[in-house]
Amino acid sequence: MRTTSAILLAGLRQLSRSRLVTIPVVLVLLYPGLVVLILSGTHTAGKGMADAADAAMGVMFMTIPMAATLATGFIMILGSSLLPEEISAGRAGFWVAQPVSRDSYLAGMTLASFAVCCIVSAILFFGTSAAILAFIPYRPTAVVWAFLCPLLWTAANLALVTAVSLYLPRIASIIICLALAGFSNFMGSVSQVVGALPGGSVASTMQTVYWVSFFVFPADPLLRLAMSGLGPADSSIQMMMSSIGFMTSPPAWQIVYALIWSAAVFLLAGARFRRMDLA
Amino acid sequence: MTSPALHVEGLSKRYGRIEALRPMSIDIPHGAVFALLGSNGAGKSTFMKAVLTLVRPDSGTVLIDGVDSRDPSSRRSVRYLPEIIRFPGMLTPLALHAMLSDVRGCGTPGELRERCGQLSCEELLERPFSKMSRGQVQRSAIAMAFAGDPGILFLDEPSNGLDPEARISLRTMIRDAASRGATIVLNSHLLGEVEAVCRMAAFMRKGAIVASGEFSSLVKHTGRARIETVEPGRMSEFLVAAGSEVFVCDGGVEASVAESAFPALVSAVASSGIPFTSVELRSESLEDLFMRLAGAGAE
Repeated sequence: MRTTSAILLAGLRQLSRSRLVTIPVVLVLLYPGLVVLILSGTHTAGKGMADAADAAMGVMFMTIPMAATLATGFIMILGSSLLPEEISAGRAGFWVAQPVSRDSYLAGMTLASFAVCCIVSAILFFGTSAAILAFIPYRPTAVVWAFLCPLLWTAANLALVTAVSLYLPRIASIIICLALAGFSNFMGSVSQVVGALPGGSVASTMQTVYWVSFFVFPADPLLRLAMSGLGPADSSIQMMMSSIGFMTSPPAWQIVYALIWSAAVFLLAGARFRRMDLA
Repeated sequence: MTSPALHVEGLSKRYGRIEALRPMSIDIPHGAVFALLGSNGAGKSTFMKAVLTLVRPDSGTVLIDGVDSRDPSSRRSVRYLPEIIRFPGMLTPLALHAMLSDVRGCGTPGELRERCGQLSCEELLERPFSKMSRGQVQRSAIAMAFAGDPGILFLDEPSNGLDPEARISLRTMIRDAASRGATIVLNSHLLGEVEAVCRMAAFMRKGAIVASGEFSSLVKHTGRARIETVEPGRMSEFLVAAGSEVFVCDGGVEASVAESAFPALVSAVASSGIPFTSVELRSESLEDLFMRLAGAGAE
């Protein structure tokens, strides 16, 4: 435990000085600022034209998916770089030659990168929501989920890329993980649309594809729950979207599965790391 | 009987079809400065990495101070200087040493400062690694490896990138550490450096230890005796007349002689009346030993 926390601190110190982290963190800080800039213009123009909750819902619908995309990109790049870079630079071996077990090293470094990814996700999700709230006060639907889900979603993405990067080269890892994340998100939306339409062979096929993509990489429900939690409670747009499946909370078992999946994939990464030659 | 500093039994490692380490066993006693010698690809670095669990051996047992090397606590007093490492560019040696001290549960900035002083690189303590030359990074890494009171040091090509002055300091640090009871396992291609600090070695070839022990027990008689004399011409004539094959080299005279016939040769030279200062049986140099045991033409 002591060595894990020492490695966690070492990892945080190392990451806080790394350009791979400092530059993206500065850039993502600009995103809520950009939202503020846009809202400060459009809000004045549209004053009184829409209900506050609906206006907030509209802005969220445009800005949060973009925030999620930026966060996904950052997580994939950091997650695919950290351990492979540590191994190829000889630093992983250097640490493991100290009185540090591989499990402690992996846990410390993964927690450090998870902490950094959570900061980036928090800036993007909460910073954007706060910017919207500042201009269009609204009542979030579920505050607990609004806080928890972006972090759980970050964990799922990081678990995927950490594990894949220990098996494949960096660029291949980024491409595969981004493709999986994008496909999972796309199929999540498609599944909601076809779920609201009359049944048919295409709808049935789409649902099957969705379930396959869900079981392979179940981050989408976490993102939907995050958006649903962050969204205004009394927006008529949300009610309309819910009627065709959008902005509804996914079933609890999907969230539980996503959590178990994330833990299992981290364990898989650990098993791979334990067997690897660090030289 | 105390356990050796390092006990290796049946250690092997294979990369696909390549047998990087053939099953090998060796004991390195406490306080020894032990060299690993062999050509490129002989398995020296892999041996170090397998001992330190950086590479996963296929078989074998490694005990460090009697503790299984798979137990992280066995590496509490171990220091490892890798042949190649890229430290995080934005960190300074002092910051990295602080992290290492946290992990080991001991260590002070003062001990690193002291070692940097020995290597004349105190000014590097607070300089980021990204702003150091290759040699400066190596000096810092050596200082970190020797900081504190290491029990066993694994040094993989420690002289890489060092200037002559730093190499001399490194030799002094190795001797000082050994005199304090530390065990040093040194992997180096610089035989002069090895000869200056080591008395024991393992010679490796194609992933196997072909010979190990004290240099004195490994060297062979070359079949020649060297006679230092101010009259090499007369001495040569005398030895030829006595039936020896004679070679004049470096101002002295060398005569072929069997080890058993050496006392008789000494008596003959002494009774010849030709002035001489010494007669010695020539043994292999470390270079000769290396070529015989680990060189490309080794049997």
